[in-house]
Amino acid sequence: MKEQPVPERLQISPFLVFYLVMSMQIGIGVLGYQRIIAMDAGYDAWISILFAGGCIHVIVWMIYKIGETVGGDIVTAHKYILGNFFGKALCSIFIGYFILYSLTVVRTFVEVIQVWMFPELSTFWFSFGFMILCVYIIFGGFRTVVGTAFFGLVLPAYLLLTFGWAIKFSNFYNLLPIWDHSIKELLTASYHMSLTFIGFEIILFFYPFIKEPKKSQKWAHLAVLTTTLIYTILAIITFAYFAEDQLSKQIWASLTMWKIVEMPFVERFEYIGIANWNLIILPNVCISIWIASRLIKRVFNIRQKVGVFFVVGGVLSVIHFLDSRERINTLNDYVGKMGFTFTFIYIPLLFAAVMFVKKLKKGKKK
Amino acid sequence: MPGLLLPSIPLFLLPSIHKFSKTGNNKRNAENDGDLPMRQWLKNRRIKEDIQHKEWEKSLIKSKDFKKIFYYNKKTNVRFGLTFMATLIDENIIQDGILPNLLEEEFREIEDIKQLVPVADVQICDDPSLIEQKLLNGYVMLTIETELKHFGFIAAQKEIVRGLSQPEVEFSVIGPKEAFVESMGQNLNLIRKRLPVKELIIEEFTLGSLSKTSVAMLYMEDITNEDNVNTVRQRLTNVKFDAITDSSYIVQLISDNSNSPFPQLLDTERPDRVAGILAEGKVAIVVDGSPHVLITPTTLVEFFSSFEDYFLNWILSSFFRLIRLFAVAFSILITPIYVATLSYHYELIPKDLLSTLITSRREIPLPPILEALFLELTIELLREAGARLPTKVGQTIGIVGGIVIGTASVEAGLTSNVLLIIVALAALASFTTPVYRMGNTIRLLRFPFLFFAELWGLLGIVFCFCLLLTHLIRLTSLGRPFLEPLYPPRVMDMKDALIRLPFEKQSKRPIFLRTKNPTRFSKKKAKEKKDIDE
Amino acid sequence: MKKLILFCLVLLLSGCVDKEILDDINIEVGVGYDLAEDSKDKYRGTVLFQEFQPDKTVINRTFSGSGKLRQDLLLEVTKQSSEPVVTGGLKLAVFGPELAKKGIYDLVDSFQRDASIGARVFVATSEGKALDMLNGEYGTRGNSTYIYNLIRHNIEHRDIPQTNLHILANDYYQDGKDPFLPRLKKTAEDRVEVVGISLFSRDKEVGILPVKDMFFFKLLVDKYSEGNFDVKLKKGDLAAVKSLRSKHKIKITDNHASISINIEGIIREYTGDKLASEVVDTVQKNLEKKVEKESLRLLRQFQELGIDPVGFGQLKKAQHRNFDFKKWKDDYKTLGFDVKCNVTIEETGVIE
Repeated sequence: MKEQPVPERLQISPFLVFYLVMSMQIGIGVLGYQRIIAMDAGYDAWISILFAGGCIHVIVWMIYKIGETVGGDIVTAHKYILGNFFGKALCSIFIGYFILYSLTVVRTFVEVIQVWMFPELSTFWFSFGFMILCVYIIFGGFRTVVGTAFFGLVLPAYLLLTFGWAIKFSNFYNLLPIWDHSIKELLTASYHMSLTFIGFEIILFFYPFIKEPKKSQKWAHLAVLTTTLIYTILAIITFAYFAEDQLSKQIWASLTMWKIVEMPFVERFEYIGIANWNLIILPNVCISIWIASRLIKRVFNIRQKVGVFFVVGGVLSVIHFLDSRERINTLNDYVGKMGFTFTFIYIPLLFAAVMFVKKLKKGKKK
Repeated sequence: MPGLLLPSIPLFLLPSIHKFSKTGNNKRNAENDGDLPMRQWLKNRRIKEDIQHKEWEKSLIKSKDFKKIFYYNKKTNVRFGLTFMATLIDENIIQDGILPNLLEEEFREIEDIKQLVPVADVQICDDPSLIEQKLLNGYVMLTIETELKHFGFIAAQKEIVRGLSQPEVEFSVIGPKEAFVESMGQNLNLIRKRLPVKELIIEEFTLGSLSKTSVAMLYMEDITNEDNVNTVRQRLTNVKFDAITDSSYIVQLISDNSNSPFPQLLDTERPDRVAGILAEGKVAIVVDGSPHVLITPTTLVEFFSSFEDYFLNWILSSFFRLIRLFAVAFSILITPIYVATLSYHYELIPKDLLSTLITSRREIPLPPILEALFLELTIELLREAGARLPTKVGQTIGIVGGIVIGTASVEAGLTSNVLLIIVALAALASFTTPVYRMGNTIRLLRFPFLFFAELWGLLGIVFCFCLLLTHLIRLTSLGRPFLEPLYPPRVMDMKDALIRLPFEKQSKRPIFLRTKNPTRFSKKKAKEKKDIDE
Repeated sequence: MKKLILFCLVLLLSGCVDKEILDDINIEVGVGYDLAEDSKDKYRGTVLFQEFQPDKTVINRTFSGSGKLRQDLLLEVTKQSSEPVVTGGLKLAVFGPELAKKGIYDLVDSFQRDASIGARVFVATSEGKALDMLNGEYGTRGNSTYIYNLIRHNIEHRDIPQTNLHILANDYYQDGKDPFLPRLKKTAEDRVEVVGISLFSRDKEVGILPVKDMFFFKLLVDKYSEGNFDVKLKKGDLAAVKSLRSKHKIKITDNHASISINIEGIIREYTGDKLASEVVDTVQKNLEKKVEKESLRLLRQFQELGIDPVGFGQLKKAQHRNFDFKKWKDDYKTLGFDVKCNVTIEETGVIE
């Protein structure tokens, strides 16, 4: 019944949770979330971002509470509540979720490349190359995955500065008047924003891999806070840069903003930006594949190496059939809804259940 | 004095060599047995005992330089023999230091050599298995007829040592001008001189079933992490190779991932650098016969720091380190970026540069990738040719290659002059890497980047960068992460990585070494205290 | 190792994408649109390429074609061009006068849709056909570069307000603001001139500001960082105010907009005898008066045309929740203005 603890040499320092959470949150969504939230709440949507960010802190707190109580990851938590068989059975759903998640990220990125850079890029072969890279990373173990997350966040951090060019062409009057939308609209925007925010729930999956997990909680909160701020600032710049009707036509507003960047040696920046985005989405895909394969190991007792090939094979065999914008959008919607349900509905439920069972067990002991 | 060459009658094999050819040798034994009647005059009552400890002689006797000579002491008339390899020992030592005393003075038993022979390294032992190794290491073996079970070994090595010279690979304008040579004794002397403390431990190993190379592991007791020392010790004892002729063999044999283009052990020919890293808590490996000493565990950034950095003011050295870092990035990326931009991303090119690029490429029949490969290969050929030729001819080749081939290929319209400048600069930048081995790696890395640039443009470059990054994250040197302090991020170790902070700030040893004593000096006294390398 | 080689080969064979090698493509650097003579087609477009000669001179090459869509035009041009035509290098788009009056939105939209076109493209209207405009021989660095630099330095140092494709689209989509474009004219085979500002209502040109009004127009819609203006004094003397910096502030109340303009500058040239401090005062006052008068005139003119290039509507909206733009359209017609100008002359040069 007792699970094997993760050996210390495979564990990561608590502060690395900051990079893990942030790099999982920031991904393909950043390229175009502004339009989606502005559709609901107009240019008040930045308030929704802050609100969604605030809610996430509560969820992060719950996640840590769950982890602390059961002393392990989500599988342990499920076993704690439902017992071995049902717990594992329920957890197998998440395998599918994370496979779909990585599929969505890769396919959307390929779409961005196809629209902006290489219309003839073969979806399958690029994904194939990308997946080989991911397998190479995951075979290096969790530390390598975290390393990718670290560099995937630190190296492209300079991209944030490039949005400064847009400020010169921005009109911050666009944001006025504040509170021009109803609470309901703001909440809808928050809901849509949460799709860009998801990714922090991964803490629940690698919890046993953190050295002194308690210490890491503040880093997780800091990560969520930083992401919230980045999203808010970027949204404000975007809103100031575009007229509202103009933004409603920009599928990838962040990319369009790069068009204004002009440096003495580079005339157009968006190509460099998109190429760099490869580095940003790499940890997204790697972490989700790692989690999926780890879950396979935990639930079905299959070696993780085999699990990785299973996941990668699954992604590659489906990706070819996602060939139109519509299908990709449907997939994105679907995964977003799944993510929302999981993080904002399921985790609080799980939290309540764990607390309940804890009390129950305590009562029994007495 | 009658010298007598005494051929042996081997009966057994030497266990350490040629295990596989056992049967073949047995046959030869039978033939040798047939020779016995010819040497009957040698037979006496001692022969039986002789035979028993002559197993080691079987092979040695075939060599021309194997000598076994018997003498009689004047006073006691004891018959004693000297066995040695003539090519390995200094005959002057025998003539002046050993023989006169052994012949003239009262010499009865083997213990007497400790009184009689004025040589520092005199050993007495009774283990016949050591004989072969000692003989081949340049000892003279002394046997005496009264004590057949004991042997005396007198060191008489002929040291042919190249004189100390200036470091050639890691030359520095300021700082010490001594470099290691091919003799381990000399090298250890150079290091010991710089760290005259009892904590400096030198452990010796003999590696290579044929070469019997002595390899020494150096570390500071009470500073260096026990695990690191144990790992090195274990890896060294596990080396299975027949002939280790240089430290480069050791690098490849004990590194964590031998399928990596990156060297995972730093090699240096500067004794001051070795002394410096020993004080930091790293381990050094000295290999006899190699003027390069290995340093481990090491990190990627260490390959881009020249030891001269410590001789310069920290501001200057930080600046130079950043320049080197830029040079590396430039050298690896600039040709792939050229290929990517010209093949795929014309939009990126500023309009003022456009005319320069287009006019220079107008007449070129080759696509950018072939053009770049052509020039890169030319540069590689020049470098390879220059490296194989004597210095003076090499220089000429450089000039001929650089000026003649470059200009001619531009004039012939095979390559564009913009690319020629770029490739030449990239080659120049790759030579700024202080460690030669790393310079080679960097030049090699350009080619996968070129491949991916041709495949997917800028995206391909980033993709290849991700591959490289992953490889680097996965690499370890002695189990310690190779990318440290970049990943895992250690702010404390940044003080001596991409930049170098002043010595006052360097009061702690690198964290990743997990040293037993992480403090180098107390920070308060930092002002008065001088650091290791002054 | 074998796997690695196999992997590379597979990628090389199947993963490759179409190349656009710099010297094997025709980069569209400028484009001009006129109304098609044939009513069946909508546009007659002219595409400008530059051909670099080995001695670094540039030959301008133009191709024309007609069609209903921008893509039709590109197809037409591709038929005539020796190499594939790519649009990523576009720097300049010129619209002919009839087309500007009819509406340019479709084309601007297609520019926006094309991922390879940058946001810093200059869009201008032309007096006379856009085709003729692109067909000249200006400067030695190519027509597109010439006109591009012409507009750019006029934005930086002279009287054209900040403009480019992004600002055009932004103004177009922004409720309560109307776009404007610089207007160019080909005056000789080797000369182009800025002749004013085209004022748009939505995407249709409705008015033209002459060159003399451009200074006041820029004061109203943009800020000067390095301008220039000659002030007439009483005796027919002239004083040139240079290194002019300006800022404007607009306060809008229920049915009144008050605009305050701040100008700082240096007198560099003076045709009178002595530049006494009284003269400086006069220069300041004259300039203030002139700015106030002319600006007010311009604002009234905009009101009559029913356009709002300054963006009063946008400002008004920023103050009111649930703003009704339809109602604003009527309100704008009755909006009252006052302009307050404050000029500071900081220096008068090295001599007195």
